[in-house]
Amino acid sequence: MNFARGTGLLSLGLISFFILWGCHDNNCGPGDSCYCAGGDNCFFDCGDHCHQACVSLKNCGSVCGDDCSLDCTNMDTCSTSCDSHCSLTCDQMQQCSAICGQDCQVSCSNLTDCEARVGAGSHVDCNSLSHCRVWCSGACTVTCQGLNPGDCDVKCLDGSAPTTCPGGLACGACTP
Amino acid sequence: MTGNRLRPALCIGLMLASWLGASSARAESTIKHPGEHTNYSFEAEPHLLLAPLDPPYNGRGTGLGLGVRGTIQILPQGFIPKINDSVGIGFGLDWVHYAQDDYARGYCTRYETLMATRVCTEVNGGGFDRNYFFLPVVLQWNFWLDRHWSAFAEPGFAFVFHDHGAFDFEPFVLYLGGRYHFNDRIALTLRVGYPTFSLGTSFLF
Repeated sequence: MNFARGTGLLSLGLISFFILWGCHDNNCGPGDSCYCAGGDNCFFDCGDHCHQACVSLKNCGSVCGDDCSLDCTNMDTCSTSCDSHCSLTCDQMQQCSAICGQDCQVSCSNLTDCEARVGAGSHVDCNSLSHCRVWCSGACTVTCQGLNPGDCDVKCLDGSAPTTCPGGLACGACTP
Repeated sequence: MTGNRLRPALCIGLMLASWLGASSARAESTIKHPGEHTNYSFEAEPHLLLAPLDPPYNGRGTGLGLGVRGTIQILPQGFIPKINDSVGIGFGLDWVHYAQDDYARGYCTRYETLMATRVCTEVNGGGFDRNYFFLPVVLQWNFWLDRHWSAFAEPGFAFVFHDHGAFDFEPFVLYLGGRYHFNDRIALTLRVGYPTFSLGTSFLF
């Protein structure tokens, strides 16, 4: 009898292990949405098509391939390093920065420093912040609202002077 | 995300339900007979560990490991005079190995500085394994249900050591568990909680 009940308990334990093993949540990879809230640091190595969001922590970052997005709100720093067709949105923080390839979209609002090194076809939007610095390799557009004129700094890496556009600057034409 | 957080809770619920279902089949209850349980002063319990939920701090994934729990009985007749309960202080040492996915949350290991800011350009998440050591200190409140079954709750705190030399403190941990007593001295013990679940053998001395 004891043996039977012990065997029953062991079976329950094993079943529970299998149930829990099947329940684990360990995915944050290509095609996934990754979310961090609270705490100190959240950094992801995401591959392609990774969509990440960070809220109310100190430092957040993503390293990814193509077609990634990162949304950061209410933290100290947020950064992304990615290839092409990426987007970074930062709101209510101290520093936001990006290194990305072509067709990159960066949006910064209500923060201190926004810096981006972007590829051709990219657009950077700086709104209500202290410093906006953009380095463009190829044609890109930058809009600056709520900044002192000298605090919207665009450098064209081909050596040309940036073009003054309505509401901002550009490397190349004012329209993408 | 909500679904992701509910899923572990559902798993824990399933496990507890199956556990309680088994316990309900007991016979000759001793829960209303204070003091009618094995007389022992120390419980040693080596166990296997499963950590199905993300560990504290930057870790991620499911872990497996080994550990041991030692519990000193301090109140043979526990907090409630009319039931068969007892209280002990438990000290644990649990090692858990977490195997990370190829794409995972981790530490930033390389930065590139622009001007006033810096960009993380390398994360150590790829294929990275991690080891944790949990040292829980708990108050073990036992309920002696019948001759073969006992259950317990273990609130407490834990010290946490993990790779990179990091040390952390968890101010509150909670485990729930039960034992199947083969005889007065040996029992099979199952424990659920965060961050680890365990299946082990208890030796009562």
